[in-house]
Amino acid sequence: MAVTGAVLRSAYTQFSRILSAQGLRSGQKEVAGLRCPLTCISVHLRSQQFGGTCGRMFSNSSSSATSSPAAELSTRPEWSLAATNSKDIISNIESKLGSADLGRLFAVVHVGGKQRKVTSEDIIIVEHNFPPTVGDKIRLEKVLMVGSKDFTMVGRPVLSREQVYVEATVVEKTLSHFKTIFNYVKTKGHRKYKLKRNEQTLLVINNIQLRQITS
Amino acid sequence: MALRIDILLLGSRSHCLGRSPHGKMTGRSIPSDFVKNVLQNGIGRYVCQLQRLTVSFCKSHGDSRGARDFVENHMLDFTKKNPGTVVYLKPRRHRNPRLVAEYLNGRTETLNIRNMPQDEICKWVEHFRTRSGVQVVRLRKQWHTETPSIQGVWSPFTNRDSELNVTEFPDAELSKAISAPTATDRVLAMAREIGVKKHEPLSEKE
Repeated sequence: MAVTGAVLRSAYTQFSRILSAQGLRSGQKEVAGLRCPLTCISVHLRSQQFGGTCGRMFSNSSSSATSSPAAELSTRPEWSLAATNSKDIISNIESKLGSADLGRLFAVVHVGGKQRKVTSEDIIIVEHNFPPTVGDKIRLEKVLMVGSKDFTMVGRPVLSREQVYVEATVVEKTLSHFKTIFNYVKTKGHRKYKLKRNEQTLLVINNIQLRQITS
Repeated sequence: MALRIDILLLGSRSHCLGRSPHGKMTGRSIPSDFVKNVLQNGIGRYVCQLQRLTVSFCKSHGDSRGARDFVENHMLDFTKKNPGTVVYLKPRRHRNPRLVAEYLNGRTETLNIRNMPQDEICKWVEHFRTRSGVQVVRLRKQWHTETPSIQGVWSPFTNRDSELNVTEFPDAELSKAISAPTATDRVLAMAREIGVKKHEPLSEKE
């Protein structure tokens, strides 16, 4: 019985195959040559805006008309970034880094022992000890990833300070609700009951900026 | 009798909000809510949410000694640092000293400060200053965003060839085994690149 349009394989395996395409790995070396070693390892390109060949990554190619889309993924030439004008794509992205027409950016930020995906105007809670008090403007420095609608920059493990700027404001410092800590061991007479409240800090992310490295 | 009828009329769950049958503090029984920022506070300018602080104390009782010390030593500094907050003093005889904090969203928080030393009262006053008026409940998420997706929400058809939409399944080509280098082959190739030495198998003696 024919099934039209259904995706039978899990998308994860497909996606990992796409990422593990030979071209992307050689593309990484190209990127590392263009920037300082501590910054992004791969520039995952999403749409046709930053390079025509990239847009063809997910469309049916005219050259290999006989082969099916899913087969021979890692050896298809148009998926290889090395074969395409990757330097042009990357320099195109770099030239647009400071501009405002990137749209809304997200960042993966490491704060208070946890990593959060964050955009501007959204709220996160940091638990336990966090020195900045209410009203303080903070720069969040540990940024692991920044992405826009068209591209993503992945840090290794963290993006450089000159490239990314994430600002936040401390809006509230409270105590959490009462959390019960109950330790009980049966038949041993061991029971401890405690109510605990921990400090919470509310951060509002003000803006995320990508800046051009002037080197 | 009248109470039971009222409960029946209201509906099944409305009278048990925040209460479980055995008095346990489960996540389901205690009130919970999502994270809230009062009127997008930090986005433009930060505004202190504490509108009014009332220190009610007794002039003579020993309970209020800390409160009286706070009023004498620390209260004026607080008022100077926080010009947006109004501080009222309310001497009330033969009553426990209390801190009453009123917030811009209309909510009130009270704290009984009997037998507290003045530095502890200072800490509690600071606590009230840094709070917004939002009720303290179990938070369902430690974050809140109005724009959860920037690159588009994932679906199984994202990053897939759109030709799959018009493919009839089962497809002979797609059903073929993938002849690309396997994961094992690729790892071995990487090892050869790096120059990892091949380990010889251990002999029986070792």
